[in-house]
Amino acid sequence: MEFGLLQVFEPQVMLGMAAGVVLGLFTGATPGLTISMGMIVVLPLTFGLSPLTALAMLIGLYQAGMSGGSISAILLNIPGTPAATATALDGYPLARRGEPERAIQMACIASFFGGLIGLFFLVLVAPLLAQVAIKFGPVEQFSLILVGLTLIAGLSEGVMIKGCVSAVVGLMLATIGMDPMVGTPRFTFGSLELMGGLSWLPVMIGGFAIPEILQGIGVAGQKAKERVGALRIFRRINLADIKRAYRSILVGGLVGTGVGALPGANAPVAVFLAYDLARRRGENPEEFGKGAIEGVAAPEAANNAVAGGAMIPLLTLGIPGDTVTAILLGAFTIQGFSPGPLFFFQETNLIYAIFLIFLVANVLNLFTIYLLSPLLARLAFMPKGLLMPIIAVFCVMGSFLYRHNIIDVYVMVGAGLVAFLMRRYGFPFIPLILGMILGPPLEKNFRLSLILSQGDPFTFLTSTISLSILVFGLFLLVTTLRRKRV
Amino acid sequence: MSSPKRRAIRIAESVVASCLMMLGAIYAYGIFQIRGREFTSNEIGPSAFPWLLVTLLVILGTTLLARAWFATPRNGAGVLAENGTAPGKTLMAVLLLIAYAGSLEPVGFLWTTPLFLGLVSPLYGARPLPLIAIAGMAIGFTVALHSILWFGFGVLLP
Repeated sequence: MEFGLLQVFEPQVMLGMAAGVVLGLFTGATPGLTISMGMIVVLPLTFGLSPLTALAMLIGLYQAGMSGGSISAILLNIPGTPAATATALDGYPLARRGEPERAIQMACIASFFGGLIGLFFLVLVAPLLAQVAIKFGPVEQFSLILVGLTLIAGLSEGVMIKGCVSAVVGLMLATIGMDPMVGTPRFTFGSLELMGGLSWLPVMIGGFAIPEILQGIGVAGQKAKERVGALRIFRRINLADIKRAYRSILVGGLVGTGVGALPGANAPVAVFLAYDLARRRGENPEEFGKGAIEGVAAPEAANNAVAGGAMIPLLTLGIPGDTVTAILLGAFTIQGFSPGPLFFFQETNLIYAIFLIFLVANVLNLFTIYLLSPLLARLAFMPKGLLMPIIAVFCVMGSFLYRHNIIDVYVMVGAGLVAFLMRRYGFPFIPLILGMILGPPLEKNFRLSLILSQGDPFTFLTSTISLSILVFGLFLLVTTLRRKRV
Repeated sequence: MSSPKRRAIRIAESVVASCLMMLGAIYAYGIFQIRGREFTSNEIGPSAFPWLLVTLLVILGTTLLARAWFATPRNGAGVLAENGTAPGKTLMAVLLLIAYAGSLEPVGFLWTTPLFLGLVSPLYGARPLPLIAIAGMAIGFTVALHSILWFGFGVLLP
């Protein structure tokens, strides 16, 4: 089958891409819906479509979903996707200051350039990067996730030790259910409902949304019309903001591409690493966490660069790095293609068409969010009495829709109450939820590493790559400790 | 920082550290219940990683406890952060949320959602709607949606 680059601009392909972008923005922005869910719903619809249309729809959904998560993170402090958790750290303070439009516009511009950087590396050095990625075994992946999680614990607000406690509790919650390697039940205490484990999605929804919902209730003298954004500043992004943030965008793009190219590595690791590096390099690091525009730019660039980076092992080795790329692999297979080492040589035209789809979807994503930003920003000025109950309903719906299990709704409510108490006692919630998400691959790689090394704990130090990652992580940890209280 | 405040923070952090120790104890009990070592031919069974986690939790909990009693809390320490909510109304919102979640399956989404929205909004200071108006909204919404789906698409909702 021959593909020309101009076929990407055919009406059917462009329509499929537009539909994917809109769906992606919706699923990314809505807490309770994930990019994977959106792609799983759309995948059967692509069976009857041409290969380019199908891929355009799915890639558009993927890229827009990564950007969409930032919208609810900025406006409501409720990240739509785990990759948007770092965006909330500075995006929400900006919205509270009355500058939601500025934050959303920076997010979409950073996403655009981050996506371009990821695409640049995908086009130019994909086979080379794949050779590096293939050297990442369980030992290296364990070290990378461990460093990422430690960084997340260190970067969260409050004292670091409380962040570490949250992360450990998250890892413990991730062990509930069936053991992934042996299949024996763990921490179910005889309960059938717990055999499937605790899903991280309702915990994430409840943990972010419920404290926000409960936060503004009934303070004496509070007016019914209190809004998230205190002042209507209507400040838009300008060249000075771009000048301030371009280095952060570059850092985010490079980190996102690098981490995204590693099989099994996660977007949350990339965004927090990018955030931390941008903060260290920034002119005013003390502003991070309080509404620094660079604090929105870096993680947003990283999470869209991850999309490009994640395509590298998929296209060159046929190895999907996460659920989303696994679904994309399924789409390729359905359309009759087999990504792998020979793919670049056998389907060169299709490869270039995919690169062009990435570029066009990125541009479409930029224009869509930028044009919608004034409308989206108005959500920050809706009365809380109207907005918060609606968000509560969406959270309940989202939790139930995930597995059609009412237990998930109870978990969501319970997690929300726990997160509310955690906030009162100074324990950050982000490390807990990311501990739940990163726990399974962390444990899997830990056990595989020790099995392969026949129980030798020094295996994490004998691998050069792993040792480099751990030393780098230690450096980041020490410098973070010097800055923060322990 | 005043002495009573410092004492309050110490006590609160001690309680939190004690809760973490209790959590560790429950988790350790759970580890002993894990079967599966007999399926593996090496030491790295299903309980290896949990043991590592509970050890970390105990170390961190002990550090928190020691910090509470031996380190000087700084001003603005994160414990007992004031969040300015009215406890009674917050509790009411929590109970309404639990009731909403619990009634979804037996009563259904269409009836419970307008009721929930009507009852929670006043907690934020909005003018409370009369109960009859809320009930009317719930009934109206349900009847409208059922009608649209049945007469428009021939679909009968459960």
